[in-house]
Amino acid sequence: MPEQPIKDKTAIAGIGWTPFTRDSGTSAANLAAQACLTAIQDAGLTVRDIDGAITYFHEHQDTCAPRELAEMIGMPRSNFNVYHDGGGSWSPASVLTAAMLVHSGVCKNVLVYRSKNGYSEGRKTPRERSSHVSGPAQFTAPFGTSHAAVGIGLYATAHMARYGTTPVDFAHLAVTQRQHAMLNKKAMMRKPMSIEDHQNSRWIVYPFRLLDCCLQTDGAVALVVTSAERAKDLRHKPVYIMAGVGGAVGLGGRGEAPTLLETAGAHAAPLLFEGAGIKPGDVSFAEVYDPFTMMCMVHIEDFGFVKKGEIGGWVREGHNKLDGRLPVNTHGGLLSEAHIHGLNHVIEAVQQLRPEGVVDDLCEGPHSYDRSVCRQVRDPRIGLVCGEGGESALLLRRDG
Amino acid sequence: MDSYAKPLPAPDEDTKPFWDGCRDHTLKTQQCQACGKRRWPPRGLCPACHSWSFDWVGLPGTGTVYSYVIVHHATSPAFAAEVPYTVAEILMDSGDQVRMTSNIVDCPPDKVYVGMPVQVVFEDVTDEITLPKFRPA
Repeated sequence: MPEQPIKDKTAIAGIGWTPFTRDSGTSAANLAAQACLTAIQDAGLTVRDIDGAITYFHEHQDTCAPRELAEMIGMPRSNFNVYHDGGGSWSPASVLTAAMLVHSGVCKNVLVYRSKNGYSEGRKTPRERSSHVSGPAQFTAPFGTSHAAVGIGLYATAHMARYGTTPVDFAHLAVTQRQHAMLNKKAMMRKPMSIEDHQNSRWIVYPFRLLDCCLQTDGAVALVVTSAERAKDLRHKPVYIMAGVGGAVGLGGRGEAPTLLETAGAHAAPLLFEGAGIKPGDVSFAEVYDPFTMMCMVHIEDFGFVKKGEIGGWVREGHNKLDGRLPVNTHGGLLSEAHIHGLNHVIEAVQQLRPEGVVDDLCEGPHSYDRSVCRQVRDPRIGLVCGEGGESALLLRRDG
Repeated sequence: MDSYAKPLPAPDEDTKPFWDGCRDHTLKTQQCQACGKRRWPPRGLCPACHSWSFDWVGLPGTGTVYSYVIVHHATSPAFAAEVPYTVAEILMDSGDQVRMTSNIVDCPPDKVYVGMPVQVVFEDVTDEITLPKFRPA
């Protein structure tokens, strides 16, 4: 497959976020507006420049629809909105969609955002679950599969049985990501975590303990995608969108997947790398969807960074740390930063790829690379972001 | 049985023969008339050859645990009394990768393992619905 015609033609020009909390005290719509206005300002644009809006949800419309957002922030028009049900599998795809809208000329500057009261909402008003289940879920829900850890845990147990991966390997991933979050002022979890803390945490769904599971978060993030040409004149150096994939079939049809040893990422990866004209070894860091420790680990294999079956040893050796072979989830990920459905992973990749680097670690002044304060990766050129199940992914690169 | 509080399947045009079979304590799936491939879950057409013609055929009722998890934290009150319970993917002894999600019963969760031979056992949970579950073979 040749390089994608879209390669380097669009860029992420602005990013924004709200605080990540357990009780925002406000609506998901207000959170979305706050993050979007911050991103627009960060880009050096105004609301009048925005002519497209994209967001997504999963099963439950817990965010702010683009039409509602447009009215809230006074967008004079929108040429194209997308309100997608793809959930975490769609987080990088939302950015790719914006890039396609800009590259096609349908839109000039597109907002991409995700907003939710993911912690407080469910506790205030428990969601009604239907007693009668239709569609493919009629073959799973009656058996008590509603916890997200069930579907992904089945992948984990299969990997453990086939390759000898262990819960202690999971612990190493969780601890490394916590170390990254401790260098992130906006991360929800900044207390140290040890391997023992992980191993002593209670079972949620075997093989996952509490500290294998992602957070729930109230908060929002947003970004602005524009053309590479326009981005050159804006406030920040552009972060270019090299290539993306957005529709690989994977986790959704678990019973139909030929194997639970790999995700759709294994099919997405060659399209992605050929689309950008690079190889996995050219990637400086990766922000990888991590609803549970082991899913992140399978994704790292599936995108070709580690040989299938060897991820356990790889994380034990610390190759995912900030100075490792491939720093992974440099912000702490869904496990320790926040759960903004993977769009927070894109925000982190953009921060890492700007010339000034991340702005919310503990460094005072220039980045020191002292890992007691600094989470900036050294000299990163290309970052990969992948969504749940590897169903969508992006390659981003720095300017120059 | 009216007090059954867990989710129940809502059979539709494609899936009703499967659930009717379970009520009669037989396990069935669809087999494509054109290419002969068995498929799961039930659907209107064959994903391999797109033929809309199929037969309902019996499954042997035996298989092996392909993977499993043990649920310790119930997300709904209906399952709270069950924890810890096992959810498994069962690779049926039918060929064609027919793999069903179900519970392993009559077996302590910590005795379940990948590759464990199992056989179907039918649980009549309401007058209308019977769930196929699996126990060690």
